[in-house]
Amino acid sequence: MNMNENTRLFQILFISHIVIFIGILLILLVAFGWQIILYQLPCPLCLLQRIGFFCMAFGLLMNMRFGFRPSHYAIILISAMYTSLVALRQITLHILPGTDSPNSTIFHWHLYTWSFIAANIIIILTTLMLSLDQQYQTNIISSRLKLSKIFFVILILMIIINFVGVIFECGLGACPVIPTHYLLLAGH
Amino acid sequence: MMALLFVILLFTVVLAWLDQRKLALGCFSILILLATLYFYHHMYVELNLQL
Repeated sequence: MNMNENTRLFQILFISHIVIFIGILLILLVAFGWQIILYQLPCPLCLLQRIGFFCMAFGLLMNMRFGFRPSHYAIILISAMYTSLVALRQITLHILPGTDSPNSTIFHWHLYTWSFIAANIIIILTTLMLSLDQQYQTNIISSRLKLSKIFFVILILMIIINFVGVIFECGLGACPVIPTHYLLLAGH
Repeated sequence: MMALLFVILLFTVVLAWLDQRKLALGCFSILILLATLYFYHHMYVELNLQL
């Protein structure tokens, strides 16, 4: 494979990473918007799924920042598998008739079902991307350092916002299994 | 506990942002381990409640 083809492969992979990263950011924004606008507080399993999505975004950024490496793909894969497992657990909690979640749905499916689907799509896409051997042979150093730095800042801001939300909802202890109100605002 | 997970997550991403790749990978390992433990703990508590 010559240099031009390597460069093209690098560009395709980089754009794929950006698209998946923005998709994950949208998922996290919708989840947080749900919490703020509809006042439907996330359960502990929902928060664990958010952590899984943050970790997937982290793995993508590691690839964009430090170059494509199998260890970075492993971060994305293990995080997606974790998210998928937690979402599946939540689906099974509400699978029997009469045990449906009271929270709102998007196109008749709850957020945890969408989370399960999204995590599995990311597993498939990551497996396809990591299977391209040529990306590990190339010595192209990312010239898009600024872009990845900006993405890092966006991710850090999102984590801080969610962290504040968790502090308001659960305090420093374990989160309630069925949250009904913000613990820190309960006294007011 | 959940707040602790978010703090470790924040720490992990900030380390990567500061080009500390190996430290970030180490922090990520701790994070995924703790998140898994939290998940199993939560599942155990819920199963006990149901029984």
